[in-house]
Amino acid sequence: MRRLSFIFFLLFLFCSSVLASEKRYFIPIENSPYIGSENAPVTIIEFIDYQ
Amino acid sequence: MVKELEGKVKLVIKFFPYRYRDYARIAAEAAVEAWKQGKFAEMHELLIKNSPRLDRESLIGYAKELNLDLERFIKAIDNQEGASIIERDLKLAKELDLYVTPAFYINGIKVLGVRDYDYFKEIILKELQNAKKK
Repeated sequence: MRRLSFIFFLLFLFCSSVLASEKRYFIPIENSPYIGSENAPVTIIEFIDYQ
Repeated sequence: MVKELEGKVKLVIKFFPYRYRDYARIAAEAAVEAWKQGKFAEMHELLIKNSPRLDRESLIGYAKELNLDLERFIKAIDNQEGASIIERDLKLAKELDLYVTPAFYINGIKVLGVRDYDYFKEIILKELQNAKKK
C-alpha cells in the first residue's frame, strides 16, 4: 500500500511539472506575410483585425 | 519592436477580420493585395495607423500613397481576391479557439489581447536566451 501511494505521488509530481511548463502551439506559417528577417530565432505570429 | 530587435524577430501576420465589423474584411483584402505587390510591411503600418478609417476609398488612398498598381489593387479588393488566404487564416483561428484580437504566439506561446511592450520583450528575450543555449 505504501509503495503504491509512493508511485502515485511520483506520478502526481510528474504530471504537475508537465502542466506547469508552458504549452506551445504549432501554427503553420507558409504562405503568410511577415515582417523582419526570415530566419530569426524568435517567431511571433499575430492574428489581427485591422478595424 | 520588430525594428528594435532587427534580425532576431520575425512577425508573421494571420488575418482575423471580425465578421460584424464593416471594414475589417476589406482591410484584410487590402493587406493581402499589398503583400502580393511587395509592400506588405508598409500597408500593414498604414492600416494600423489609420484604423478605423478603412473604408474602400481610404484604402485606395493608402494604395496610392504606396505607389501600388491601383488598377490591380481595386480589382483585388472588389473581387475579394485574397479570400483563400483570409478564409484559411479564419479557419485556423477557429481551430485554435480564438475569439479575441490581437492574439499572439511567440515561438508557440500564446499571448492574448493587448499587452505592454515590456511584457512581450521579456518573453522574447527569454526565447532568445533559449535559442542561444541550443
